[in-house]
Amino acid sequence: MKKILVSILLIFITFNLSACTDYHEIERSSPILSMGIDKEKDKYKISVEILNMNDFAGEISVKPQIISTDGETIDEAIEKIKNMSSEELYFSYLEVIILNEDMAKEGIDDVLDIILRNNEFRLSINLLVTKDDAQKILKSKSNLQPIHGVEIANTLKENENNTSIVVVTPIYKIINMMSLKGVEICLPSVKIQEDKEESAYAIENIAVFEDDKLKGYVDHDISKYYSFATDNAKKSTISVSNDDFLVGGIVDKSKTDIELVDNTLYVNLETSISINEFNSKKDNSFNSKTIKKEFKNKLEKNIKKLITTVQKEYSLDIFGYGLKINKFNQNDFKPYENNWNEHFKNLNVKVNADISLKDDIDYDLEKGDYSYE
Amino acid sequence: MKISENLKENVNIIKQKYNKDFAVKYRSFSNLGRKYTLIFIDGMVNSAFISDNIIRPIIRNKKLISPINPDKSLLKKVLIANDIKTFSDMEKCIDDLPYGNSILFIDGCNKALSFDTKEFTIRSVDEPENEKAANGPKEGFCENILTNVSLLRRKILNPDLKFVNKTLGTRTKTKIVISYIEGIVDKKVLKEVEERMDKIKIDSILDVNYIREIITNHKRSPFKTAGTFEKPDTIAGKILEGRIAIFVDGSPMVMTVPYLFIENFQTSDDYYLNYYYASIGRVIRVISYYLTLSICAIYVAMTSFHKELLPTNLAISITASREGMPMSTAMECILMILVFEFLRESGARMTTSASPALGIVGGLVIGQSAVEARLVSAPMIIIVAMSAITELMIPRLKSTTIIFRFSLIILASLFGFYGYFFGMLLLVIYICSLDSFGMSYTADIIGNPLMYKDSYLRFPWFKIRTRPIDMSKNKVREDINEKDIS
Repeated sequence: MKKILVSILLIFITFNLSACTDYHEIERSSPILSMGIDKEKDKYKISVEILNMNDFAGEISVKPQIISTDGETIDEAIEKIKNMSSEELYFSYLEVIILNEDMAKEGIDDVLDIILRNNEFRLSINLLVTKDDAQKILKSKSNLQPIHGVEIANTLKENENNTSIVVVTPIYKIINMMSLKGVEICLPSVKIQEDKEESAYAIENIAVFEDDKLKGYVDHDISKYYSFATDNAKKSTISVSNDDFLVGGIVDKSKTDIELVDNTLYVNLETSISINEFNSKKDNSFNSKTIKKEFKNKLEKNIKKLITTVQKEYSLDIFGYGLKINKFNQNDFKPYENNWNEHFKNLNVKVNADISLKDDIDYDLEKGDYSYE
Repeated sequence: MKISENLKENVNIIKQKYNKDFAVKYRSFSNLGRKYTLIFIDGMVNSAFISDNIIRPIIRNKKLISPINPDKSLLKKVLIANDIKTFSDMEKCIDDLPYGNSILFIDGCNKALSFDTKEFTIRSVDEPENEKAANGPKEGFCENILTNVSLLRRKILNPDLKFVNKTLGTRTKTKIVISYIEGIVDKKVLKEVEERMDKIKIDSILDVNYIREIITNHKRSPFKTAGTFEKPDTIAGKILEGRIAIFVDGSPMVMTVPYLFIENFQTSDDYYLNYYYASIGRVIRVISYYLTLSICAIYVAMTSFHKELLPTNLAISITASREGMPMSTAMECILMILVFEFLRESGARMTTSASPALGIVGGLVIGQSAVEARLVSAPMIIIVAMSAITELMIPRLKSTTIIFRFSLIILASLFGFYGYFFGMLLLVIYICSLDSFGMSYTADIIGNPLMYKDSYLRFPWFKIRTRPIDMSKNKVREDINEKDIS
């Protein structure tokens, strides 16, 4: 009898000392999927996307609803939303936080701080910057999915994998980058497309940060090559044309190595491209050598343009070259450890792209002559 | 009590024992001045055999039976029945009578003759209901122990196959046969089994389960530590691995010991099908046991404690379907499992004419209407259905699933995954602590690596060169050196 009592007591204690009783029915909490943070004068304006869910005889209807409040601090504003809601706000499914430009210019460390302190937030949240109001973006019409949070997160993922115009930097990466030397943050930005009948949003330029403060943007035309410059390119369409032809290709594989010799930064690319589209303007001959050359010129020119633009306008190393150099050769980096950005500004940049075509066949459609190179 | 020389006295003793029993027949006849009385029970004997081979030879006998030891001369010269025993003890006669034997008392002789005349109606050898096999032998045991023993004997044509007789049950006097193969069986286990059988002091044994519950080590455990099987080919396989089979008269189930945990997941079909297919089947059965215990508890823990573990889209659809539900997830789960247990039990107990009604009530009313009436959420029905389907796959463990599934749900609803894992841990420790006749219950899992070849997977027969369990001293199946085993 005594044995049984002791074992019951022991089991009882094991359970209760674990402090693990966080019981909460799933329908009593409302998941928040995206959040917008604006700053107006001295007040934070928070907009959250809450899902209004219903199930009528098996037909599930999910309607997102935007609730906005303001407060002196972010927490205060969130508390006001909680006052309005009958259910517990649940932040674990939060995928996207959109920051207003004014907010970003003052620094994003407030937001990072809240996310790090609260254990409900996932560290895979995507941060986005917008020139418009964050609230306006959340209230705009979404393209395919009814839920903005899911859609923006999926758009970012799709674009990273299939077009490489975005390099996704989730919160944990941002926090790492802030603590490391030789790299600065850059985030994707989102804007409202005005030309459509109903307003919708689109991912565009990349926003450049110094420490945690927004400094400016890099244009979309060249920001596309950010992924090539940082060894993140996965699948990207690239097209070249000259007097003879117009060729569209898809990047299959791309590898970027960098090297610092004296004051010159060598950026070496090994890119394999498969031809997707070929329009000949003169005869129907396909000359892989000239096509390769065109691709090479285009990549080299644009990557160089991107790097030099960032050098000149911001003198911030958003590519993380300092970090890479530090990784492979500490002695090269050591002298500039504390003023890497200054040094980066004055580096000469040489880009060399080594292009290979996937189906490397020369042929002439009229002659019917195929020859492998 | 000795049999007296007086015929009337003997018959009177029997008459007193079986007074008012209409079926006990007394046939008196005489030949050349000597009186005889044959006693048998109607319905248990072959009447033609009695009249042709016992009564007719005695009556037609022309020669005088010697006055000294008339039983011997009858036996040697007159009677043409095949199986005759001679008794001098009255008790033995009385015990022999109910099993279909006929007793012949002879006037002036203090011995009685017992003839094997039994013939009674028994069920024929059918395909067993619970252990259906798509391939391989389809015959199953019936209720008569002699038929059952002969079914096994036909599988192993070897005098090393031994059958040891016992009679248990002080009132029912049930016949029990212990069967094993000399040279393979572990003598220690055999001795242990016989000792435990001798200790049984129960007045009635109607089924093999009476013995199983008494002789196993872990009498209070929901896990069986002695297995029962319905097919002679299964039993033959088991005793060829070194196990001991116990037949009980009147039971179509035969018990084997030792019984290991993995045997719950093995079927006779595994040995008759392609080994890839059989191995996948076994793995699926093990996974399904894990699922039937856990899936409800995991669902409850996930939705009420660890929502962040759910993918966003799944969480949204679960939340939407649970919107406005009257009961908590755990309550809903326990209720639906109770409903399933009710359905299962009524399915097992009802008459066949009621089965369409059960199908309609179970499928339509409880499944569909409960969701439409918003009493139970749709994901819960799926989870409980999963749990139910996987339970049906392993009928040998059904006594444990009900108990442990409920305990895990309650733990998960109180403490989330912490409670669930705690419960699973206790369960695993408990299973490992069990043993069956000196063998660890999990010997196949935590033992000699040679034994894996027929446990969770079934290797092809040319690879299984040893007996899969460690109980037999004679480990090697093939005629090879023990060194060559790989």
